[in-house]
Parts: sequence; structure tokens; C-alpha cells
Amino acid sequence: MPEGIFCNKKPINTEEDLKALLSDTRGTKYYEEMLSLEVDREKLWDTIQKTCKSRLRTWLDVCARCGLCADSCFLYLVNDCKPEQVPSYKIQSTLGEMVRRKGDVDNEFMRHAMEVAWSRCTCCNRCAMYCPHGIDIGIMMGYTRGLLYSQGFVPWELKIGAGMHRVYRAQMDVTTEDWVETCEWMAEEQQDDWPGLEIPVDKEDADIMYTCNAREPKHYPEDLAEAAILFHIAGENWTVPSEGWEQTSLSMFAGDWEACKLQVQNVYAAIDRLKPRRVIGTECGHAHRATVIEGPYWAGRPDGQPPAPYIHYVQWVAEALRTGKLKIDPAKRIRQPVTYQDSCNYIRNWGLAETAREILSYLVEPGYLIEMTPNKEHNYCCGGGGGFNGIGKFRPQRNKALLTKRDQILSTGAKLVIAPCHNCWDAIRDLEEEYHIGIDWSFLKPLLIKMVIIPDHLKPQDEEGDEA
Amino acid sequence: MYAFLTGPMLWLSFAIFVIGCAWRVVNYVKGLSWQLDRVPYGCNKDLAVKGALRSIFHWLIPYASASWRQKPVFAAAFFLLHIGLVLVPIFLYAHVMVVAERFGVSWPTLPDGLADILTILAVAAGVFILLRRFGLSEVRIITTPHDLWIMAISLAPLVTGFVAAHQAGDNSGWLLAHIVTGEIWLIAIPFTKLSHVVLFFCSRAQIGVDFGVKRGGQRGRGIVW
Amino acid sequence: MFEKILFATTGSPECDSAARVAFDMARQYGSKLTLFHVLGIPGKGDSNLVIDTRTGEEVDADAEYLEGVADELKTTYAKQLAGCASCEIEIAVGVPSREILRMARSRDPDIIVLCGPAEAPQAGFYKRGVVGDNLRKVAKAARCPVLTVSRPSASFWGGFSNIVFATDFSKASESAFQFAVTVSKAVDGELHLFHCVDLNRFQSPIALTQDGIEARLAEARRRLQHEYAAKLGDFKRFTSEVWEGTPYVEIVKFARERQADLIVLAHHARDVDPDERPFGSTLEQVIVRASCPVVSVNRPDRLPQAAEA
Repeated sequence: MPEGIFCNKKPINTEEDLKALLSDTRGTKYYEEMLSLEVDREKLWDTIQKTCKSRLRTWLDVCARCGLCADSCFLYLVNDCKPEQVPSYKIQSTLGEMVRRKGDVDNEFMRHAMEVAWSRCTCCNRCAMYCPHGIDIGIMMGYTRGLLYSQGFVPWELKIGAGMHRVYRAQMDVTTEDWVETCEWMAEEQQDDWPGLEIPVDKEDADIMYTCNAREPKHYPEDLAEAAILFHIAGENWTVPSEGWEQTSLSMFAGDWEACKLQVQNVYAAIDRLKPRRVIGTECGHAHRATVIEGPYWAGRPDGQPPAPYIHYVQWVAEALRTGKLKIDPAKRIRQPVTYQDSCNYIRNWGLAETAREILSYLVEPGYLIEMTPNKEHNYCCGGGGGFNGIGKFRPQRNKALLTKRDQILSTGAKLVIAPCHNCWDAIRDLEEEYHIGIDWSFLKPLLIKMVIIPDHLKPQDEEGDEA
Repeated sequence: MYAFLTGPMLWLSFAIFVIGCAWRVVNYVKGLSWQLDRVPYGCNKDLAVKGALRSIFHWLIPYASASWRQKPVFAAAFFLLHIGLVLVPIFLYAHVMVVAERFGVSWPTLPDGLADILTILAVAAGVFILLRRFGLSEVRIITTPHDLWIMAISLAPLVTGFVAAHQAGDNSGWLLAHIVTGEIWLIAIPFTKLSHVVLFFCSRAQIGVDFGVKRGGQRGRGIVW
Repeated sequence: MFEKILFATTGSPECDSAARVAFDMARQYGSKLTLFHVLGIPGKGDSNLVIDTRTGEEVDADAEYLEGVADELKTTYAKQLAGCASCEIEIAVGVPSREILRMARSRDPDIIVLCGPAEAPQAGFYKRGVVGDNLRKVAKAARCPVLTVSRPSASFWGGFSNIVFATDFSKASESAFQFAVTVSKAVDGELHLFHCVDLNRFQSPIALTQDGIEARLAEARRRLQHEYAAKLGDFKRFTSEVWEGTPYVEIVKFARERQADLIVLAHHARDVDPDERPFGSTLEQVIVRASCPVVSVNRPDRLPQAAEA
């Protein structure tokens, strides 16, 4: 049977196709068509032979079937320790089978594999730390997603998401004009409180080039304003690019490697164009993973380095606090029980656990920080990683997964969760909506703005108004 | 028969074992790709070596990793099995004597009593691990016949050797069995999951380099145990 | 006086009062009215899922749904729309305050009409944030005056007799003053200048002695005269008062006493931390309690010219 109108092996490359797929509410027709989507077995095996090499093959072959990965996986634990959730089983029954059968698998198998790859794994890489052989099932699951994507077996929202990156080089339909307009707008809006605030676009040779998440200009431009305010207070010489300003990658969640490459190259092109001394990303974990950690390899850079030093927002904040560029008013430090969400992508997979603690030592009054158990590199996924947050079909599974984080937070007794990662922030918001545990959660930016001492020369020349 | 098994067949077994394992390692390294694996092989050599070594040692030392500590009983069984399987064949007086007779080299040996204890513990651990495969649901679902076979192949030389060493009277039957199972074991190593004899080090080194250079090593972290 | 009006509505009965005023104004001034509805806050992921701001439920905001919403709005406001010469309906998805500001930036209205917060903030992330934040954020950032109507008794933009202008002597209050003067002149009403000395701000016992208070009252009276009354030129129909107390209470009382048809004040330019001001700013409190429309003006950008009404 020929490929479907909505569900097929072709990536979304035009605005037209994107709108068409979006119009299929909740992907109803898309998933219907998926029931008859054929598997191109030759192509599948060919791809596996070309891309499944030593590391992955050995991982698959040498797995001692010891089951130590089970207790490392939050999805296994939260799903009442069902054996089907054992990481080794999850990957052996999907990728393992594809390899053993040399790609000779059918539609039903692929749909099942899709369910495993996108609802039974968030690619949090925690299992890698607990396996005696150091097998990283999260990485393998990501690879499997790539195989599934290339065959058209990908959740609706992620096919759209990958399409967004292909069409807009951003995860949402924010054009260059929209972006630049928003920068101007935010700078204007802040003039009352922050006279002289600028959001410079395309400034060359700046110290900092800032990149962010398309959701910010699209729906929450205050985030951009906050970033600008903090750079302003810190006296940074910074800029944003008019193109290549978006650093997220739903394409990575989708397994669309080609789109990942295009997306990352767009950002790197901006770096090459503007030649900043370094690049700073917004508070987003997967954006950092895609653009800084994995990105260089997609862009063909064997040393794994982007064209300029590229750091996560948390690194800049720590540096700013350490060097005094941002000074915290001790009277405004956090004095309520607070905990910290160690996200997979920039903590376990980039090593910023202690950097985060350094920031907290400035922001939180001693005695009020209560660490989660486990924490730092051993922390569990927020419940929404790897695209889990966005996939309607797997919402029930995602909501179950949120229980892990809910219980972790409840155990700390904290009333505030600091989560400098868009996905984690969303997951925690959702768990509050779902389970009503009465917590608040925040990025770093709004907290910093509330607590930071404003240098006199930046205060608006006043207006001695008494408070009305 | 005996001469054949302790002569050419033994040579062949060892040859297959050594060359097979070497082939496995070479193949492994050849198949690494910075682009497919997304790991900067060849860059940051200091961090890479440090990462690889840390990765290996934290798992070779009992309870040195969080995972071992989380599974203390299994860890105990694991180490007892492997210590027996590795130390006893290499340091058993009877084996060293054979090597000394043939090649004139020798090395320190285990006291017989200790060798016995290690062997018994290793076999007990192996049986425990086998039973665990059926007893725990998370292990049962991923256990395959292959896993059962390689445990059998690995325990057979220990059992037969132990009996042969303690058999009063004519032990030639058990001795033969010991030699045969030992050779089967050696030959099986490169072709089965027993290749983890070398692949464990390869795999651990690789993930050590991954975390040690790419995923945190440059910020002083890497895998935190 | 108001060529373009932006009326932001939830389309529900809570906004009836505000609707009445908005359409009333449009009729009186022949304005072009943009009826703006923010459908919902975007949900998770890339789809058309939005959280309906009214119900807090997830809905699929596809083309069909949006059309349905537009139709619903047309029905709800059928009568008013019939009497309105030039009206467009716009629908958006996003955080309401942000989308209102975005629409304002695009349409550049002379005044924004909002439904005021009638009740205490409700539970839930979406509901809680929406209503109070709307007002706070829009009033702060809007470049034009913002008119908020919250109570049915406050839904009348008619022949004004009495306009109360409450000031805190801030720079923003100057713009509010300009607006109040223009409107007063245009409707031929009486302007009542008012300042409340905020007793809650004084900590030291000395400041709170009667002498201390009266000294401040005298100072405030002097400033009212100097900074405002003196600038009224030949417009003579005004009074000037200074009371002491809690500003929003006194403003509402004063407005009641003067039988005000309109209250004009500045939203304080500084952001009000919800933690520090649990009851909201003076503006919010006045809006909830006043029995007439309340206009907040922050900037001189888009003040109405003193044209013929």
C-alpha cells in the first residue's frame, strides 16, 4: 500500500506540508495511516549496517543480562517494576531484534518499537551509570528513534517538530522578522525600569552571543527581556543573531538527524558570522545537548567543539555571581524550603552539578536548600524529557512518569523548585497541575532579577513618587 | 587422546583464545567512529585516558561504583565468581607446575586450601547467579539460553577440576573432563559473550572516554560513582 | 477622541460590563473597535493544544475551532456589533496579557478596555495567573491609557459630571493628569484632584503624630496646587483634596463622595511584587471596588488630543 498523505517516510520540508500535518487534529488520520505504513526492510538493514558499528553492536552483544539497569531506570520503578520496563529488555526487544532479524520486521513491530522508544524511555542516560559494561541504553534508544523516524514511525507532534526545524530553523514558526521585532519590542517595553536597555542584534565581535528557545519570543518574551536585563546589569557586551538565534532541537527528539544537522549548522553559521568571544544558551537542557554536546559531530567537527566556546546559562550565572558582575542582596536570599532539579542534559551529560551548587550558595540562605534524593548526576528524569512532554498519544504514560519527580519533591518538603531547563520546568508545572502538591517552580532569571542589587547608574532617574 | 588434548589441542585452544580476543579488540577499535558515536576520539588524550581508567577501575573494585553498592549481594556473587574464574586457573599450583615442567617458567601460587575455597565460592556464586536469573523478574525477562550456556561452560572446568583434584583413586576421567571443558571454555571465549573478557575493558574504556571528555570531564566531572 | 479602541474579552458574562462600556465609547466617538479574544495558553508540545483560559481544559485550537470561537463571539456580542460602525474580531493563542500587548503594538489603539478582576485569584497555574496578571502587566506596559471595568455599576461611559484624578506625584501621574484634563474639558465635567498620604508607609512614631500627619497633608496640598492645579490654565471647574489613610480606600471613598463617573490614575511604574503586595497595587484595588470605570495612564505617548467629543 502506498504511503499515507500524513503518515509517510518523507520528512516535512515545506510550510505547506507543516500546516497540512498540523491541521490533522491530534494526528488522528496520521496514526490511522500509520497502521498500514510499510517497512522498507532493505533500507532499514542497509542503514543499520552502515551506522550500527562497534559501540552499539558491542553494547547489544555483550549485555550480560544481569538486570542491574532495572533499578536505575525511573520508568521501571514508577511503573511498578514491570519487567517490560527493564532497559535491557526495552532495547533488546526493539533495536536488538531489528539487528538480529537483519531489518526483517513488520509494521506492527515498528509501531511497538515507536511506543517503546518514545514512551518507555526519555533518553536520560541514567542507566549508563549503573551498567557494569557501561552500556548507554539512552543512546541506543536515540539511535533507534532515528531508524524509526527514517521509516516514518514517529509520534505526530515530533514529526511536526522536526518539520518546524526544517522550515524555520526553530521549534516554532517564528521568522527572522518576528524574532527581531520581539527583540525591539522587549527592549522598548523595559525602558521605564531599565533605561538604556538594549537587545543588540547582529553585533559583531561581541563578548557574548546569546541563543534561546523559540517558545520565548513566541509566547514568553519576558524571558528574553529578563536575559537582557541580567546582561545589562552585569555590564556584558552582548548580542543576539538575527538568524541562528534558536538553539533547541525537537529534531533530536524525533530522531531526524538531517534536521539536527541543518539546525545546528544554522547556529554555527551565526557564530561564524558574528565572531563572538563565546556563546551562551538559555535555560534549556536539550537545547544545550543538541547544540553544544552533540551538535559539533552532526556539523562534522571531530573535536566535538562548536566554532566558539559555548556554555549553558547556568555557567554564566555562576561566573557572574563569582566575579561580582551580579551581586545578590543578602536580605533577599531565598528563605523558604527550596530544592534543585538536576536535569539530565546539562548535569549528568555535561557536568554542571557543582556549578549549580555554587549558584545556590549565593541565592539560598543556608539551611533552606534541601537536596532531592537521589540528586546531581544520579537524579531521575523530570518525567517529561526526550519529547515526552509534548506527545499527546503518550500523555497517560508521561503523567505516570511525573510521579517520580512528584515524590522526590514531596520528600524534600520544598515549596520551591529551581529548574533551569525548559523541559523540566514544563514537567514540574504539569505535575503541579496534575497532582496539586502546592509547590512553586522557577527558572533562574526571575529569581536573580528579584534578588540582584541594581547598580545606581542603571536605576531610572526618578520620579520621586511616593507609592500610590 | 590425553596427549592430543594436552598437546596440540591445548595449543590450539590458547591460540584461538588469544588471537580471537585480539581480533575482537582490534575489530572493536576499528569500528569506533567519532561521527557515529559522537565522541571526540583522539582529542584531549589526558582526559580520555583518565576517564577510561576511572571507568574500568570503579567497576573492578568491589563496591567502588554506586551500582555495585546498590546491589551488594549480587556484587558479592559477581566478584566471587570472577575472582575464582580468573585467579584459580592462573595461580593454581597444579597449573603452574605444568607450565614449569614444559617451559621452565613459574610464578607464585595459591595455597591449595585457598584455591579450594575460591573454587567452591566461585561455583556457589555461579549457581546463585543462575538461580537469580529465574528468581528475579527483571532478570528472567532478559535471560537467554546463551546466558545459561556460558555459565555452564564457565563453571564446568571449575567443577571438574575441583573433583579431579580431590578424587581419591583414579581421577583420569575427571581430569579428562576438566581438560576438555577447559578447552571448550577457552575456545568459546572469542565467539560468545564470554568475549567480555576483553570487551568489558573496551566498552568501559569507551564510555569512560565519552563521559570523561565529552560529557563532563572537561568540567571536572565525568561519570560520578 | 478615541479613534481606535482595543477591547480584550474572555467572551463570558464577566466581561459584559466592560463590553457595554467599550461599545458605548465606540458608538459615541465613531471609533474602530478591535474585539480581541485570547483563546488559551499553549499546551505542551507542537500541536494546536491550548489550555482554555476559562475552563482550564485542553482543547484543539485548529482552524475549525478558531472559527467556532469567532462565531460564538459574534453571537455573544451580536447586539453591540450591530450598532458598531467599524469592528473587527481577532483571536490569538498565548498568555493573555502578552497577546493583548502584542495586539496593542500592532493596532496602536488610543485606549485598551479590559474586564477587571472581579474575584480573588483562583487555584491552578493557568487560572491564577491570568486575571490579576492581565491587568498588572497590560496597565504597566501599554503605551496608551487602559480602561478597566469590573462591576456592573461601573459600566457607563456617558455624560460625565465628575472625574477624579488621583496622583502619587510620580512622573507617570503627569500623563494621567493630561488624560484627566483632556477628558474633563471634552465632556465638560468637573475635575477633582486628589492625593492620599499613605499612612502605611510611615514606620517611626514621630511621623505618625497628628502634627506629623498634618504637616504632610499641608505639603501634599501645596504640591497638588503647584504641580497640577496651576497648570489648568483657564479651566476652572476643579476641586483639590488631600486625605490620609490607605490610598485605595481613600480614593474609593473620595470618588463615592464626589459621585465620580471616572477615576484616572497612574499605575505605579515599578513592578509590584505579588509577594510584597498581597492585595495588589492601588490600581487593582480601586478597580475592584470602585463604582465607576477606572483608567490607568502611564505614558504621554498616546494621550487623546482635546478634540471635540
